[in-house]
Amino acid sequence: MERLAIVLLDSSNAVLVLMLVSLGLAIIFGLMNVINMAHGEFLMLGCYALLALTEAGLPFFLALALAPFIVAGIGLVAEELLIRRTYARLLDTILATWGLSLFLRQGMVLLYGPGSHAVAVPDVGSVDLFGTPYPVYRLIVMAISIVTIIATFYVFFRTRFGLAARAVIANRTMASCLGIDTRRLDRITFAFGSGLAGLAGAAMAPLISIDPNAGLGWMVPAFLSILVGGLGTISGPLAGAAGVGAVDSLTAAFTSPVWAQLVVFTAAILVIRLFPNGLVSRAKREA
Amino acid sequence: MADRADGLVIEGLVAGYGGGIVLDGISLAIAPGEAVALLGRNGVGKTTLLKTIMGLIRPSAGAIYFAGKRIDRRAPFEIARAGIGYVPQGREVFPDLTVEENLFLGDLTAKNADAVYAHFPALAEKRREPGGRLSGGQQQQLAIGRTLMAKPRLLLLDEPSEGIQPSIVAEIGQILAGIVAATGMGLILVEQNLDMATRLCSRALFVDHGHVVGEEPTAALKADPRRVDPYLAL
Repeated sequence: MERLAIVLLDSSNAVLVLMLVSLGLAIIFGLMNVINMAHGEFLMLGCYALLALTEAGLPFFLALALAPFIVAGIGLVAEELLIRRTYARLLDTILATWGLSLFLRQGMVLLYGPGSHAVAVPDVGSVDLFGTPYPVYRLIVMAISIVTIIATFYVFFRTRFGLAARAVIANRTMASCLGIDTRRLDRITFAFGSGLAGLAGAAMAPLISIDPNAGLGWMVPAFLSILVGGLGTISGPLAGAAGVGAVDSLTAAFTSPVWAQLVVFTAAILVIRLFPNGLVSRAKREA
Repeated sequence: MADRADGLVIEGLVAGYGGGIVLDGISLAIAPGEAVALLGRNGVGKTTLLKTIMGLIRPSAGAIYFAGKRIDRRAPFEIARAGIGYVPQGREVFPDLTVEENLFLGDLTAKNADAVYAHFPALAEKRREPGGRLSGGQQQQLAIGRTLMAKPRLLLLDEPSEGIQPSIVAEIGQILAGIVAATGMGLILVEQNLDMATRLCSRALFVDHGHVVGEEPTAALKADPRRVDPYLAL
C-alpha cells in the first residue's frame, strides 16, 4: 500500500514535468510551425543554469526562479539568429534545430566537460505520507508544474495576448492581416517555450544527473505526448503527457524501464491508430 | 511620387505567384474616402491586387503608397496598422473562436464591440457562439465587423456577396453603404454582383490581363448595365 502511494506520487511527478516539456514544445509548434529538436537541450540548459547560479552562491530557490529566464533569453537569441530564418519551411526547422541541439550539447561539453554534475536537493525535509517519508522537494516540483500549467492556460484563454496567439495558431495569415504582430509573437513564443523547458530542467536538476545529454531522454516522450494528445490544441499535449508519462513511469516501477518503453510505444501506436487526430482532436477546417 | 491627395496610389505594380505574373504593371489612384469597384472576369488579377496591397504577396516591381507612405514590402500587420482593413474572399472567420473573440482580434485593445454590434445586430445575439457556427451571411458580417473594429481608413472587400443569398447581400450592402457614409472610409470592392458595386461605389475600374483597361462612373453603369459587357465578355 505504501509502495503504491509512493509509486503514484513519483509517477505524478514525472507526468507533471513531462507536461511542462510537452506544453512548451506544442506551443512552439502550434504557433510557429517549428518542430524544435533542440527542446530537450533547453531543458538541459535549465539544469546547467541552476548549477551555475547555485555554484555562484545564489540560494537554491532564487536560482530556480532565475534559471527559466536565462534559458528563455538563450531561446530568444536562438530565435533571432537561427529559427526565424527557417519559417514556413517545416523540414528545414527540423534540420536547423537538430543542428542547434548538437551545438548546445557540445557547447556544454566545452564549458563543463562531458562528465556529470549534481546539485544537492535543497534541505526542505520530508513528510510522512501513508506511513512512509516522502521528500518535500518532489512535492514542490509538482506544485511548480501545476501552477505554471494553470498560468499558461490562463494566459492563453483569458488574456488578449492569448487570444492573439490562438488566432495565429488557427490562421496565421489572417491574424497578421488583422494587425497582429506575428514577428513579436514568434519571439515571445519561442522564448516562452524555451523557458518552460528551462523551468522543467531547473526543477528536475537536483533529482537527476546533470550532463550534456540530460535533455535527450525527454524528447521522445514529449513528441509522443503531442502525437497522442493531438496537434493544434494546447490541452492535447497535457492529455498526451498524462497518458505517456503515467504508462511509462508505472510500468517502469512495477516491471522494468525496458518493458516501459515497449508498453509506451505499443500504447502510443494503438492510440494514434484509433484516434489519428489525437485524444483531444480538433476538426481541421481548411479555408 | 504619391499624390491623389494621399489616398492609395499604385504605380507600375508587377506581382504574381511563383514565376507567373498576374499583375503586369498595374497603376491606379484612389482618393481618401473614395469607393471604387474593381470589375473583371475571373483570374484577371483582382484578388491578387488586394493581396499585394495587403502585403501577402511581394511585388517584383512597382510601388504602393498609402497616406503618403510607401507600404509595399511591409509586413501585413504593419499595413493593417497603417489603416488598411482586409476582408478576404471566403471570409476566413476563426471558426473555433466566439463571435466576440473574432471581433476583438480586429482591435486587441478594444473595451467592447458595441460599435460593430450597432451596425450588425445579428452578431450581438450570437456573441458567445463560435464563428464557425454562423450562417454564410453572418460570417460575412463578422468578417467585415472584425475589420471595422480597427477603424480602417481604407477597406479592401473581396467578393462579399459570394455564396450568400440575395436578400442578405442586399442587407449587407445597405449596412456597408451606411458605414461608408458615416465614417468617410475608403473602399475597394471586388465584386461580381453589379448591383452591390453600383450601390456602394462611385467609380468602377475594369481589370484585364493585370492592367486597368477601362473606367466608368457607376451611375452610368446603373443607367445602362450593357456598358460592362465589352469588359466582361470572353
